[in-house]
Amino acid sequence: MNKIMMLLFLALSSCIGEDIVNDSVPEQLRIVSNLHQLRVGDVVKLEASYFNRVGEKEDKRVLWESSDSIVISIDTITTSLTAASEGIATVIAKTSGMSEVLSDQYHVAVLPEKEEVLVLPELTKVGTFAKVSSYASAGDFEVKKTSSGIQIHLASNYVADQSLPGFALFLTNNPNSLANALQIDAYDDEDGAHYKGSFIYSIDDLGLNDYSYLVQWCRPYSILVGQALIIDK
Amino acid sequence: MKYLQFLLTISLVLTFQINYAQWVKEKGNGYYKITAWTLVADKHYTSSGAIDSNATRGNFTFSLYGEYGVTNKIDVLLYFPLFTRIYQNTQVSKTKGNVLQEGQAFNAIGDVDLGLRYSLFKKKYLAVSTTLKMGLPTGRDNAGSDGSYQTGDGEFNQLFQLDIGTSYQLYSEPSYTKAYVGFNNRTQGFSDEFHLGVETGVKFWRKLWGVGRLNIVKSFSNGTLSVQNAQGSIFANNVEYVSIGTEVAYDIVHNIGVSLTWASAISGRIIYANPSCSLGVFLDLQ
Repeated sequence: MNKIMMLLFLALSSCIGEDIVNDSVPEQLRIVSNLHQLRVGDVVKLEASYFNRVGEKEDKRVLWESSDSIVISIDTITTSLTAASEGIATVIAKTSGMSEVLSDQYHVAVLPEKEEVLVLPELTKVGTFAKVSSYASAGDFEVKKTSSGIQIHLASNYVADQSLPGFALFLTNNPNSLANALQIDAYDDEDGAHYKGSFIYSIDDLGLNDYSYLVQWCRPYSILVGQALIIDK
Repeated sequence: MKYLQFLLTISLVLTFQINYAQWVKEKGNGYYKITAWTLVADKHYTSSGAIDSNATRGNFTFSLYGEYGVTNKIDVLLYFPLFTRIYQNTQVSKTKGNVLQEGQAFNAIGDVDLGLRYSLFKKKYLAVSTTLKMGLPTGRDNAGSDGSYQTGDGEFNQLFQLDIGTSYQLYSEPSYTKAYVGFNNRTQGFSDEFHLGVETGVKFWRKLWGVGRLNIVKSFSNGTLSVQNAQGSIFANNVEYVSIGTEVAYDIVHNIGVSLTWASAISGRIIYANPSCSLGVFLDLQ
């Protein structure tokens, strides 16, 4: 009888179970190709990404509109934008979500043919870490577009908890899950992880609008400790 | 962090301590116990002492424990975790139902403890002894896909204790109270520790022991091991806790009985915040 009790105790005590993770995030439509300054005659390809309830990218039919077709015209078949005449107009993208219409937009200034297109702050995004646990997490950062991808510039006030085991920094579209997240720093990297102060991460083959969150995790134990929403500067 | 380490610490303190009598066995006598110990935890005390959640982790340990009186003043002590299983639950999406992160488990032996207890003073109702317990790094200090499923801390430590105990009658029932203080010298960059504990028990109807325990571990924070220089290891340093526990032990037949224990940290740092329990069968040869 004692052996049976012991074996039952053993069996019930050591089985791999399931943790149900609340990983729901709002659906999102995000315009990827957002050039804010064009010259008359420029033609650009419009791109938008739809992210579902768990932050996964999915194919969706996107409808494009221009607030002023005299300034910018949109070919809905080729999804290309033509800067037709000087002025300012809004590019609007729409798609149907699970229960509502989702949209995103950005403003375009069309300049005369010979005028120089400036590098605008719109090519930079920003964010600020907020702690979501008792572990320390704070600091500002900027995300800048480069010729090969992006750079993340951590500010001097950046803090990650140095007692956090298995620390890792991720770009993600869902702060509640590491599925489809991109790790950019971790405790088990060759050079270790960065925990405090200014630092620059260079990431190739990545667009400025590919991810909407920068998050700090304890990777082995699946603990979210800090998150930052990446927004337009 | 070395979650396993603190799990092992609990295991050692709460399981090993069950039999940490200040009364030596005397020559030829012994106490032996097989124990199944389990802890399933979905939250932990952080380095600041707050409680945060984590992916559910479990630890199951099947161990052998023995005390044997080699002389009238000296006991040999052995704790042997024959089988230790560390596992983490599968993470499943509530939204879509798919697996986000596969669960994982690792099995191995744990860290063995070998000790000596020496009787300094023993009168009818009072006993004072010293204990030296050596923690041997026989477990795995790097296991699983990310190294975090350790069954041992990878270091050789020496815990030196001064123990005192007294027996008395409580409402005509045999009773005892004992206490200990100890210093744990750790190696491999781990901080040394101060240990303190008190235990009291009452035997009812000549067969049933009811025991209560309080154990405290405080780190001296003098170690060099940190998450930054641990070269990827997440084995925790500077674990601290205050834990309470209770045990019920029942003599089934002469010298043989079963025991059930429960224990939990009520405060701590870098330690799980869920209770543990164990089921054991003991043989007490007097």
